[in-house]
Amino acid sequence: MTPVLEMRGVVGGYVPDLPILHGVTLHVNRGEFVTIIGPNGAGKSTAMKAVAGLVRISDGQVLVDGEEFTNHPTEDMADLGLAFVPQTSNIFGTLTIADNLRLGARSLTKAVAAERIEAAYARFPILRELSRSLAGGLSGGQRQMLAVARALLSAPRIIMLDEPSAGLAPNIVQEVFGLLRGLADEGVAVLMVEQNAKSAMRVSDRTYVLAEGRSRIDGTSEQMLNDPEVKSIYLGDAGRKRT
Amino acid sequence: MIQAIADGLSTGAIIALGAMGVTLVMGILRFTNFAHAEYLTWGGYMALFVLSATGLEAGSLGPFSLGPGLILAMLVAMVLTVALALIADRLVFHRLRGKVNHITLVFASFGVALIVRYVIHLLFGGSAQYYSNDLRFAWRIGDLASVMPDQVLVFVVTLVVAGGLYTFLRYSALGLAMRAAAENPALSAINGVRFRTILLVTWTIGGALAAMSGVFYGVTVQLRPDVGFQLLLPIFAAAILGGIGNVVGALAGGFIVALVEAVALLWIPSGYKLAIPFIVLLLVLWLRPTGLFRGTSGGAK
Repeated sequence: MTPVLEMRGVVGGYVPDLPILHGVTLHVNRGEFVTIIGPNGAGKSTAMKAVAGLVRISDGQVLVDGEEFTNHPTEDMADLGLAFVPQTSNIFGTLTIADNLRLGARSLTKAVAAERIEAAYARFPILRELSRSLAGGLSGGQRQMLAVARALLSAPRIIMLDEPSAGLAPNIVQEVFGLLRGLADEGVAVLMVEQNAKSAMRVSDRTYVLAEGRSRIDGTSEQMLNDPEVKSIYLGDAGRKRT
Repeated sequence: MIQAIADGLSTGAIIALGAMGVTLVMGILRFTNFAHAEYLTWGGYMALFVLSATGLEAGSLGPFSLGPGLILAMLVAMVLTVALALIADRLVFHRLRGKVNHITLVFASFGVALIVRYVIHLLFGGSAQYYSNDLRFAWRIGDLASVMPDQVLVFVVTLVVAGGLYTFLRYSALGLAMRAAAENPALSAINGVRFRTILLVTWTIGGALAAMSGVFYGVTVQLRPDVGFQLLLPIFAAAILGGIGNVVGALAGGFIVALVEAVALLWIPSGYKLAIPFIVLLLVLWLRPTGLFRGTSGGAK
């Protein structure tokens, strides 16, 4: 099966000759929920930005459904079925919620846009209630809902999310992860960077560990949750006293 | 006082047209283009060039100086001013954008301003010029004031243009994309908004409004190569007063700056005229740093 998204030995960074990624290799299949974990500065967010064309790739390849996507213009992402929800500033705070959704549906015909926006409101009823309010006034959880709702309007083949749980209350985190699990079950490929590693691994199918800009370990999330090295180094279990 | 208000509204319309372009460029392209005021001068002179090159008369429309010939010349001048704005962007700003800090871009815009001003000086000379030498009679407002019909026309056209621009930004898909790009360029790109399109549309609107403003200045006052220099400060004061990126704010800012200037001149010597927008600007920055109408660090409304 050809993966929906594949990174092959990707090297790149924000500044030429100063790479942050030193060889990231990973893939996500259709309907699969994949998590990337790793310490701060490992290059997790940068890897996603590299796929999105926001970081220059100097070596390696990004393939989408087997086709070349390396250093593709960011503007083409949505039309090619890739959605990306950055960690911060992932909504337009000065626009209304309705306008945020209109923007996500801008490449669609009017009828399809109306249908998908209606589906987004059905999935997230709070957004319908607040549709005329400025998105800048939303709570953290509501912002994530709007960001995900807008990303889904283009019916993407893959959705990438950079730390969607950041700043959210635990019950909201479970809600967001549940939503992403549901998307994967519907056939969307989900790639998520998370600091909240254990919770993320519990809902995802596979996990990659990135360290110092390289893919270090990967496997099914279940295996990884029980891997002694992953547990001790990346899940914070080392030296913890049992009570 | 009524006369000062009438004059202020006319001048305010010209300042507002310039300020609306400046505020869009500042809000969306995120840089302070000091060459913008020279685009006004360029627009005014390009209309004069079209009239003299084609032998067209400015003509008249009822009591107004803006006849068919001048309207046609103004439309061509708008195209030529958009072309100037795009060429300046391609040759100067595009090469610097994203590679240098904001101050370098600002200084580059000073350079462009000087080049444009002295090219105009070289081509058209330094003396004042007019589109038409026909005499026009003022309308009397009782015994209170007299206004030129052209001043009324400029005021009304400016309101209509501002309304159209606001409607475009507020309700059209492209306007929505511009507002999104103004707030967050990276996120708008993720959503498929093409920066090149936004750049083109922003310069087109800014250049066209600048040309219109320059022609209106030529109609209601006169054309001189230093028109842009004279209007630079009031235009920026109006844009900042209205809140960066806020079109309605720029419109109101233009009228406020011009009205304060016109009314203040009743009591203070005209030599201090250029200082007035400065004082208004300083007061606003002191009291409300984001402008009277809630501007943003990057944004378009």
